[in-house]
Amino acid sequence: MKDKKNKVRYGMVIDLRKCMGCNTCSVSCKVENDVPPGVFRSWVKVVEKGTYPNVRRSFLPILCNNCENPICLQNCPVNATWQREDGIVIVDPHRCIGCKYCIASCPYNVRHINPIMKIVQKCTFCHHRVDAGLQPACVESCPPGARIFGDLNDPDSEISKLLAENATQVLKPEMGTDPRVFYIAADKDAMDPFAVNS
Amino acid sequence: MARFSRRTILKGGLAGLALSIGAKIGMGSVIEKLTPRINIARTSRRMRNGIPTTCSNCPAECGIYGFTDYGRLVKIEGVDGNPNNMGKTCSKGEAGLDMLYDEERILTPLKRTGTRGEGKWKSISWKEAIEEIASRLRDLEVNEAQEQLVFECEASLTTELIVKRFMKAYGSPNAITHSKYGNENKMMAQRLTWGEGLEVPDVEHSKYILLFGANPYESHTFFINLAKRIVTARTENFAKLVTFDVRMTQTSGKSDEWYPVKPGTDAVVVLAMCDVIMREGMADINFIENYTNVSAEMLARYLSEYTPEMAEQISGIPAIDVIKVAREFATSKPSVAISGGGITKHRNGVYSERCIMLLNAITGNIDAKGGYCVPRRFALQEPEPQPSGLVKGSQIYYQDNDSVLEHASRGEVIDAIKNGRQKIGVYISYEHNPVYSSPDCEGTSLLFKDEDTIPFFVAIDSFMTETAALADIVLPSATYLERSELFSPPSFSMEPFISYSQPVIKPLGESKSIFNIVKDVSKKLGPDIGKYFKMSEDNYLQASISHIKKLSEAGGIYSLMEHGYWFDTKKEQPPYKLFEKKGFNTPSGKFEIYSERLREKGHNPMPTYMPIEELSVKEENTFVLVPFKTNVHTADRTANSILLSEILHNNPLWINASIARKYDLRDGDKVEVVSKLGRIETEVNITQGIHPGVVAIATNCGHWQFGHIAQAKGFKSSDPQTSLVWWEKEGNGIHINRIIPTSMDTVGRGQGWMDTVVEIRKI
Repeated sequence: MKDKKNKVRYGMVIDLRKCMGCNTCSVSCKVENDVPPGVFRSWVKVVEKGTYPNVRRSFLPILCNNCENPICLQNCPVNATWQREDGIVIVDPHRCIGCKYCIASCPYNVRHINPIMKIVQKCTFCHHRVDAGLQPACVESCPPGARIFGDLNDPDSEISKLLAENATQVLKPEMGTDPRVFYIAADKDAMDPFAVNS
Repeated sequence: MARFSRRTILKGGLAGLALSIGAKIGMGSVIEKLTPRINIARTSRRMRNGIPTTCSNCPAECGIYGFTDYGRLVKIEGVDGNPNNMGKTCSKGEAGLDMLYDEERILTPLKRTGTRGEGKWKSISWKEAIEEIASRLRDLEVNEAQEQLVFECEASLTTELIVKRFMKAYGSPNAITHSKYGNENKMMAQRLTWGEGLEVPDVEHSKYILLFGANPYESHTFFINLAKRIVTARTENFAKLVTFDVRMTQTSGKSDEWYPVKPGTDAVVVLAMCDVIMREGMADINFIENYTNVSAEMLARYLSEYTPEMAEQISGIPAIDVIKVAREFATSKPSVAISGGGITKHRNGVYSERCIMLLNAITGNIDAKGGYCVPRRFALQEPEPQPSGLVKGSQIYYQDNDSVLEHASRGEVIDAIKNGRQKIGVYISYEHNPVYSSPDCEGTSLLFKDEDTIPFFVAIDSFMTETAALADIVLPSATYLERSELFSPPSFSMEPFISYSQPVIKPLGESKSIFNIVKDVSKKLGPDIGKYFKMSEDNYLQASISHIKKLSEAGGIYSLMEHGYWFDTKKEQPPYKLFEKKGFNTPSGKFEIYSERLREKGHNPMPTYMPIEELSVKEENTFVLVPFKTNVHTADRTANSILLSEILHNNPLWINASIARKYDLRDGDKVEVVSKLGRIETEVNITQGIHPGVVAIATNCGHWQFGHIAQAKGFKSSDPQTSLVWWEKEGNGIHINRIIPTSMDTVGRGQGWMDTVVEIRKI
């Protein structure tokens, strides 16, 4: 983690011991951000493992990792993608030309073209809500409270404590993107991008 | 830093907002008061205030805020202080605005112009619609055949009160107000055993949670209110979750242990567990001797015939597992065993439910902290003037005082109409879709099309459902986001509370709330009936809660308008074990393990396992068909929502991988599913997570009315989203009720949804 002293750095922990795959996050995100049909900024991947009768099911909610070192930002030819001081990665709708370079470069496949506006959009940790002191919509709505959002640089925040106390995983750490969405108790197979979606 | 948001609402609106930009979240002063909640517009950053109301998508009845922007509802979020949902709501709740602003909503009264079901309508005025209905009702009055009016609505506190009041005033007993098809079994077993309609599992404090055919992570009467507490218990109390289910549901897939049990045989497993507990001296003898109507000795003798070995033979669950779970359940107290539709919607549902109650009783978990608790809720009172309640003979309403259910089950009602036992003059359905949600839905559809059997049919609904499409007159009803209502869901805080629903926006178009529709009809019928509906909706609701003194002192309906919910905050810690003082609401005042009322009717008075014939004699190539609800849809009302149907719009048939190999099936192959009632074609979803003798399929798909989205078709409208239906090619699946025949529980008469035996053929 790059140490930006006294600066806020937002991140999210998804505690998969609590996730029940109810899709409330997917729907509340769509309503909050007016995401049209056909694309999602946050969704739940469901993976089934094992052989009858020893079968398990795992869930993996996916959203933009708002990486510390976002590849999408480096690749944007018109500087439409930029990173705020607090780490949130944003696409400027006025600059984006819809060339999809960022979509191609994103290792997590979390960017999409808005079918109505024809520009690239993604999860922004609901920065409009965060700026007003509210939680992102998916965190606010998660019924079992599996999503925890907050300041990674504040050692007293709930998220920092969780990260300190639990083993966490990130998606594709080998890409060197330094994702800011952490998972607790994520299933290894569910994290495999080629795992079958049931 | 403590958790921000919810409880950290910035003082001073915009000033606070400006302060917080770029600063640490949660800085600024904290207002301890929970309401009103704020929300912010994404583009203009305008602050929005939430209007507290209650979600009526499903029976969980969560408290929600509706946030409006320039008079349009834009967001729904949970109400923090609500003791049940505690600031959360589910995907269906969040998607409520799709229902409100549905492009295909009915917004004016409609009159049929072609033949029934042809789909030709003309808009008429409310005056004309009400006059026509009133004249039909007056005809019945003249012929002294008031009982030929049947009014069907969903089970909800206020709706029941209003509909029953109207029906009493008019003189017909036939208000069909029980909950959905199949719930009669659970209700009957519960009322017989301890006099309540359902249980509240206090799972938050449990150490061991045992589920039988229940799937709270996806669908349950209390849905997220129960599910999130199970999650809390598991992560904070390290409670164990064990599930018996034929299918690997979201719940069993995340449970500590999953036992795929043969369909319809859960009861024998439960009885064997009871036997183990009694035999090994792990039972709560004090509870059995003092608070039930059987002796421990007699019970032990009765249970001794249900051995774990017998359970293994019948259910396929190894005896050693039955013994293990029984021991764990009895020793890790508090523990709770919860039933679900998976066992109560069988033809032996009443008996099976009573077995679950027995298991909770002998382990002393009844109404105990972390156990199987009595629902704590308020009742509404009938406001003055009260209609006399004089009723005439009816074939579907039970007039004898000792009947456990008020009226016939929904299946029996349809049956009585079909066979001419209950003559119909006028049939009114309110936000209810029997044509879609009945078993043998094609047969039911023909019944509603038949003008000789049902000469006049009025549907009160917001959508052109399968049922409304067969109506003579459709009245546009205000959705739950546009009307006032009172609820008192069973409380998980064990402190009864009232939840209030108020219009977030004015009713769209010409739609009206059920109270105002009934009021208009009664007024037209003359002062004898009209006098019961003279007051305004709010006054009526206020009068119905005026008996709760402390609520009146707190401001009555005005307090509810402000906060959305009310409970008595000054009370001490809620006492458990209420029965120690008050006993149970049964004839003997005890927990009736032995039911005299069942014996009188010729049934087995003890909790027992009744084999279901068709399911136990299983031939080669036959499977038990199990329909199931999913987490993004209700039983029949959410299919036209783009937000929800995008996530789940079709329903391939679940089939075990080993069986699929035998039939040479691959994912997505088409099969023909044949029951004794008919055949359907559908794709298969091959999974390891299902009992090999079972095939399963999701409900709320395959609509043939209701709207374009429900039928997976895009269309042009003022909302650009309606033309972006990408799942057109995938289709909207198949409605399974086409091949599910009517099959009623021997005792409760509720539909046995899980009793259909089908054959599968590859196409």
